[in-house]
Amino acid sequence: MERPSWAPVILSGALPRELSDLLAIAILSLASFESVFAQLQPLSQSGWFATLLVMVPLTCGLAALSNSSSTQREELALFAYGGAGWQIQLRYVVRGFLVAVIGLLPLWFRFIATENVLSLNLVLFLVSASIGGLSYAAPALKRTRSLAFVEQYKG
Amino acid sequence: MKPLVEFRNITVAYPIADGVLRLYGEGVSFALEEGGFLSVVGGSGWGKSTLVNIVLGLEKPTRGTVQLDGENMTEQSFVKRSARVKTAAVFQRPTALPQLTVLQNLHLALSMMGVPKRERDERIKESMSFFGLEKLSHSYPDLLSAGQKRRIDLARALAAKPRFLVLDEPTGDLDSSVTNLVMPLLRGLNKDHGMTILMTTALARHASTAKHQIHLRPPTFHTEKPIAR
Repeated sequence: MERPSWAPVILSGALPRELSDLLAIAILSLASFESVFAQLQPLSQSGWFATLLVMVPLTCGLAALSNSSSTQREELALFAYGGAGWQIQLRYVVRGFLVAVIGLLPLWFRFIATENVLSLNLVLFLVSASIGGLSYAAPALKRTRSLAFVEQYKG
Repeated sequence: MKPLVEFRNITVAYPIADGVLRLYGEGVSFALEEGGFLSVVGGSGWGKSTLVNIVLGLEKPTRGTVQLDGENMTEQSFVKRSARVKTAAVFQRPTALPQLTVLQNLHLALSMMGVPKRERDERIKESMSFFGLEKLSHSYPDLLSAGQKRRIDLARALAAKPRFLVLDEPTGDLDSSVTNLVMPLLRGLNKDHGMTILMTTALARHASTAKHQIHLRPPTFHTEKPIAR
């Protein structure tokens, strides 16, 4: 009995691999290093979280936008192979989440080194990364729902 | 006998300017029975690909309904339609993932459908061999010609062994030697395996492969309000 499987759709594109993904990771890493090493004062929780809430979605959204021409071809193929819209979005959410988590690792190491691992900071860190994932998926959601998208199947 | 696919009064309107609509297939109706083979014939820009997108649930008609296996599926997506009637589609534009090899593309498509690994290998081997893709199995689609990419799509669709096969101008980029293989293959799939096939074409000689044909009319234009002077 053949049952459609969602795992291949998501796993086929969940890892960051585009140049723009690497650039986004580099930008977030630089910002994280800056906030870890450059502050003379102890890190303010509301301060870094507010910064991340602005920086992470913008960086992840821009990374997703700048590889949209190649990813559109992937999306067309995945729909043609029988993939569902939510599966295709989920792969971007996972990819954006990973971009944010990897980029923010310096900040995470700072928390581990100085605080209890299971702190509010961890929750805020994961919230930031999740927002990064959603922001990464947003351009694809807009793209795949437009009429212009299905027009691409026509010659 | 209950039709597998039924179009009832389908019309699609595209706004092309302020207050001006282009209408495709004004009130197209047809019924395709299980095991049927239908050719949709029409010129370029007459709405053949739009009709394919509507059959698959990629576009919604402005008016009319689409029934699949007796159920109104007009508002349902391709995935939901395919869950009811297992469907494979070959589009006019090649759709292979550029970063995967030909073999990996076929494996991904079949694994998404849930075909077990061992069966997948057999089906892919058979399908690739039929379309002469064995030597290209480790090539990337972007390095191949349009005709070769079309063969990948055909191999993928046939390896899926669907109940309903939808093809949008399947011989568009193929040379005559491969076209001469594809048309008898489609006839065989329909006749020997009972596969239901809907195919669009601009060529009457290809349309005659099918048991039935419908001919589209050119789109018409409709103004919603008087044109300002």
